[in-house]
Amino acid sequence: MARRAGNRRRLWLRLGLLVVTAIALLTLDARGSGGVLDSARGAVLDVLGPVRSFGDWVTGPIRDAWRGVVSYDDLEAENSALRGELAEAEASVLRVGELERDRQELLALLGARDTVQAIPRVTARVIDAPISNFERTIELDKGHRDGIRVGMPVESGHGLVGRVEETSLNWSRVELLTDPNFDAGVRIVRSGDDGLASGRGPDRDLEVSYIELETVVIPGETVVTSGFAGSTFPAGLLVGTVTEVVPDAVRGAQRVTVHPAADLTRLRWVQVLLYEPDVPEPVIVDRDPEPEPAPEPAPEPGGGAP
Amino acid sequence: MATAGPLARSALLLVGAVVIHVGLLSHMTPAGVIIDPLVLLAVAGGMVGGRGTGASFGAGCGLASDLIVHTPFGMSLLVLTLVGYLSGIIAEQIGSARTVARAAVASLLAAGGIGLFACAGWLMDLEFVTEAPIVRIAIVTALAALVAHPLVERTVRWVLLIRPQVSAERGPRSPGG
Repeated sequence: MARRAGNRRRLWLRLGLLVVTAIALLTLDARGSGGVLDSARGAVLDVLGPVRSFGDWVTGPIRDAWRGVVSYDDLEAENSALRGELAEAEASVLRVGELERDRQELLALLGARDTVQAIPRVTARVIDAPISNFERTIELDKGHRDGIRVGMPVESGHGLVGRVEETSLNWSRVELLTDPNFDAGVRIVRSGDDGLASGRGPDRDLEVSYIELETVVIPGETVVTSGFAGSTFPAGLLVGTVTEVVPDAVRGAQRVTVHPAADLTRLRWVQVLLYEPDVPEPVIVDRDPEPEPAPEPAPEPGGGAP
Repeated sequence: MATAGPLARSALLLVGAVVIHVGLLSHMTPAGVIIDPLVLLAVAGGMVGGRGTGASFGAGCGLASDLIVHTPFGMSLLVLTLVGYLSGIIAEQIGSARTVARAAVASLLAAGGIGLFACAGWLMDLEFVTEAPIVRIAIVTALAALVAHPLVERTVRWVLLIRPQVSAERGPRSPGG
């Protein structure tokens, strides 16, 4: 009987120790002092990187074949829609070319620099699989070694995708712009009004706040990053288009819903902009200035060297 | 040496499970759900080894999961430790039931593990957990556990050097053998 009670106590002790360890780790992580834990995770994912790429390479054709069988009708509809879009795009190429020339001339006249185009980029492949059902990020096969740093913007050919949240030697994780923790300063191009775009979760559009009630915002308008000083994004990155405008009299502002320009569900390749915001140099105040050297006495007339 | 055997085998099994998870299962997503082999292993660990071994085995699975999944570090450790422990308690209740019954229980426990994870996410106010399709994930994980449990249980028995109990489906043996 006593032996059984002892066994039970030992079991409880073991469980208690494990639970306390887990809570201690959670606390460390929540306090942001989990540098060692993050490094360990980064190292493990670095090691597993080739395994993931290999798995993607092996299973890719199977997945594509399965998708082809299961969603043939959808693919066909998408294909015809894409053909239509391609025709439209071809028609607008000339017009866009002219506009681009005009823009470059205007920039030259103003002596301004096209900052977004001038930013160097790294093209990275999206490792097409979150490891868990509870992840809302994407991972790239390039990392620190390629110059990628935390906070750098990521875009696809269509628009902003998110920002680098974590990076390791040859792997990095991107927080998508639909993530509830994501926010960025944006500008509604036509009116020039600035606001703050925030993610609202997967498959949901962004919400832009702080747009004044007087500002006229029309669905279909383009929204770009505003690039305020200190922002992690340069000005002019395409974010998306306005889909809905709801005046909020209580807040004295409008709630503007924006559909992301980038299709976040079909990302294969993205570009990381090697952009680091200009942080204003700190003003150094010398609290204890050194005494100025006393002025040298003026040479006496006729007191030159012998 | 007697204790080093199961430890070394457990480590090998965990590494294998992580490689299969990362290299294969994360790319094959039935109904858009990633089947987490570490949950199935934690359940099997408890069902084979009892609550104490289940807790330790679950903790190992949780730690491995924490190292590869971007949830708060320690969350999987906490959840899978409890899953292993609870699986041990349930296994003690059902004893040496039929294989099918054990697989059914394992599938319920695996679904419960997903539910526990969601509860932990809710307590920690993690929107990316609470907004995930929990019911769908739990159903797919339960189905996967139902199918895979016999194999997983056999593997865990080999790892922990635990011989299978006489199954009820074979019936009790006569004293004479």
